[in-house]
Amino acid sequence: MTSASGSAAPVEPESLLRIAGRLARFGGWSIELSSGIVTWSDELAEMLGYPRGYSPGLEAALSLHPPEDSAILTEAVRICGESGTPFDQQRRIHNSAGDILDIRTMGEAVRDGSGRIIRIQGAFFDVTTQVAAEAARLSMEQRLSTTLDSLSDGIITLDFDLNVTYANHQVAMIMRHPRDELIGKDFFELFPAGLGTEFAIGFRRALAERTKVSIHDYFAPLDRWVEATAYPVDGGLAIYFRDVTEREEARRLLAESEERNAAQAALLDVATDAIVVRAIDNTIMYWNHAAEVLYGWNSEEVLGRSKRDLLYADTVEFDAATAKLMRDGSWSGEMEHRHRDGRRIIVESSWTLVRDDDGQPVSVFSVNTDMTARRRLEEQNYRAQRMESIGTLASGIAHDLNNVLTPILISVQLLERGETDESKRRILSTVEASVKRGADMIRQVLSFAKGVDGKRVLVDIPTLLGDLRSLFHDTLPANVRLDVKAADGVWNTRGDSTQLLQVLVNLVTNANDAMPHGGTITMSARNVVLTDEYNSVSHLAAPGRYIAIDVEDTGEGMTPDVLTKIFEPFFTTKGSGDGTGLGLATSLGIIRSHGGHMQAYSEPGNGSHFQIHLPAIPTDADSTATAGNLDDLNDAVAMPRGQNEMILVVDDEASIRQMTRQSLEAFGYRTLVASNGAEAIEVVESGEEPVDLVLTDMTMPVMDGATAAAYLLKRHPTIPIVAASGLNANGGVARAAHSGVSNFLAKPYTTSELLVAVRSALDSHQNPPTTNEVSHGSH
Amino acid sequence: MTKSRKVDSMAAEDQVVRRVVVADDDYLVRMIVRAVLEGEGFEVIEAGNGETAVAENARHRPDLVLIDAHMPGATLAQSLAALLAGRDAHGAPGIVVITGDLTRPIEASEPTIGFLSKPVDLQVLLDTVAQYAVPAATKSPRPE
Repeated sequence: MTSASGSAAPVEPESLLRIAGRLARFGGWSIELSSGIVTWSDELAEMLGYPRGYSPGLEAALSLHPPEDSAILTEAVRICGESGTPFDQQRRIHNSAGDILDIRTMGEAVRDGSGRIIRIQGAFFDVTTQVAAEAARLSMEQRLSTTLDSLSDGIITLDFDLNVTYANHQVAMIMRHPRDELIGKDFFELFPAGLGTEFAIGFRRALAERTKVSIHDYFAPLDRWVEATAYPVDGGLAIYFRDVTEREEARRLLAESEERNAAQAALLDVATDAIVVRAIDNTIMYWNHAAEVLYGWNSEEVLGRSKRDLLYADTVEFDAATAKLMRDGSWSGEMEHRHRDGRRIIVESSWTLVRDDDGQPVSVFSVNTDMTARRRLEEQNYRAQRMESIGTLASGIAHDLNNVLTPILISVQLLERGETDESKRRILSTVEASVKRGADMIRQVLSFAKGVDGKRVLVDIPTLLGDLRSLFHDTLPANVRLDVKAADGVWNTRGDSTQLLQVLVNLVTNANDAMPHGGTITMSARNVVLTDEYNSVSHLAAPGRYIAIDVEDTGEGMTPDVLTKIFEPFFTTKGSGDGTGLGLATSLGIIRSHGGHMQAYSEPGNGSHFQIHLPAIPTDADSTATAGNLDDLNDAVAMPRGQNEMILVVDDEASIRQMTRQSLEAFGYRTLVASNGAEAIEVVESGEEPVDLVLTDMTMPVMDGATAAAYLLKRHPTIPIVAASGLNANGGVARAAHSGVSNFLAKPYTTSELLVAVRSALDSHQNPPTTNEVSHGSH
Repeated sequence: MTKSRKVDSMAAEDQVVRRVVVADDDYLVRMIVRAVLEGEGFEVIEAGNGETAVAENARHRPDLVLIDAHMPGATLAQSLAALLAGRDAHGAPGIVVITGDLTRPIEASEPTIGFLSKPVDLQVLLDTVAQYAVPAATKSPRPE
């Protein structure tokens, strides 16, 4: 570059043009029409990769273009040469290396003084870069457009006047308008119904505040749920639309079904039947409120546990039912379940196998109706019916037997009359005695079977007990002691004193028989007022005023097995010939016919206790009281309240536990329960809830009350203990005293007796003998 | 109504036959009662049910009808009604109801009716019969 050598000298205009041509890649050319000589500027030559000063002939120059371009340019040059028409073409050309360049070439005619065209000259630009960029831009635009069209969401751009400047395919679909009809139109002219909607408000806000706005709403004109996000962009707004109708529908359905599920769950919870859903592997998946009540387990405690292990003592029954369920799809029948406390529950159970969409079993839905009470009632009815039929049968047989005995008795007596032989007389007298004993037994059977409708007169209890005492005065063995005591002011009853005496004689006779080695029989009478609560525990007595007569012995006692049968006719523990098995059955009949009831408690080795309740006729002293009014009854007895003390109730019988608990809670105590001595100690020592008093039954499995009481008194002397037992006067008190317990509560206890015993134990225990224990509770 | 037991009628004892109808469906009972009462000088007429007892009473005019409370056929109430209606001016025949039960049947609550409970003691039977038998004023002829 010689031109560049004199850098100090000002650059000539000609040189500047060349520099520009080189940098911007343009050059000049001319064609002498007369000679056909082509002249290239140096920049042009360089651009095409030829040496400076290179000038090809016209033919050669044109042939550097690809043939179609060459043809067009040849024609353009010819026309320009002939008519002077200028040209401006964008074409392609090969450089010296054979690469294709995009070029723009412009030519114009040059005329001489006479107006003849002598030369064509022009400019030549290398536009390869620009062409490539344009191609890239086009391709990008195309790609973007395709992409936007292929999106499942709508994209639309609006200018500041909310005219549509772009809309992709989806928008056209959503808006149900061809795309070209959208472009250039006012968005809300297209959708006048959209004016005033959340969308219109949102778009204007996005425009005004230049901020992103998202709207999710039902778009009424299209009957669709639409989600739109408006982004402020240079030309106005870019809005992104999505049709969320299906999603919204699904969400709504889900919400509805959840609502339905919640409603169903609430329904299941108010159902009185226990409803349990278990998975195929038996784990519990659902447990309604009734199940909590029936089985004693909370829902949280059982979810995930095995129903088979939890509820079934007899898994064979469960497995057989399950096998049938798998085969038939359902099962129903009666089953025995286990309560949390081990009690047996009889349920009417109905199972349904639940399958998934593919028919695979996934869970078992079961509804369990508690039949325990109904079964017990049926059993009682059955027993009553059996007693009745036994009665009818016995009465028939007895009647016939009397016919049979009549000729025998009279015959024997006739023979005896005329008989002088002493030995024959003895034989006949034996026969006569036997017949008479038989007749006596028949008489007993008949009096049991017939029921007893004796006299109904006022019976004075102390007189009755006095008669009994004199009856047995000389007849009891020397080693058997009979203590009879009636409390002062004991009420009267109404009835047949002969029959009542018969009952007491029977009880004393039995007590005596139970004490072959001697002992003490205690008989006492006192007034009691039975309330509703007591009624529920005993299942026997209506609320009201009663006289309680207790007969206790220190004899051999009875096993629970025997105890359940003693009131049944013909049940006897005595040797054959010694008893008819009707004594207690008849006694119970007599007491019931007097409107009373009789219960028995016994422990093998610790004696027996029979308790009779007879309806009371208040004596003159308290004649103002009316026996029928329960409010009066409650007023008549002491009901000392608790002060939020925590009482631990220990009894193996769930019903007693439950009733005691309810009574205590109704009168201001808090309670915990345990079903045996071991559990009681565990509760006390866990310390989770400080216990203020322990009320324990004396006879329980696992660990009895006496053992537990002895342990607690030693280790936790601050906690008073009240011992409860059905055997009061003899076994119970003695054992309680033996284990160190001074507070005793006789079972069955009334609410009043319970409250008095608990209150007095708490009050008398306020100053514990030792102080090394942390004092519990607030007194 | 008080029972008229006329001591003076005993004077005619030799002429008057003492007669009793024994009604029981149990043959052995009838047999032994007959044995006892014949031993006491009674003429005994047996009946196996209430209808027969009523018919025999009308025919024989006995001093006493001893009647079982439970027999097939006529009920005790029916039989007693007929017997009571047929009593003569002296209150004959005397009536004693005998049952296998412990208590006197409600149908026999009329105070002039005696009551015996089976099995009957011999002495009690004799005493009761003696107490309730009423010599009839007019006797029908003895059957052959």
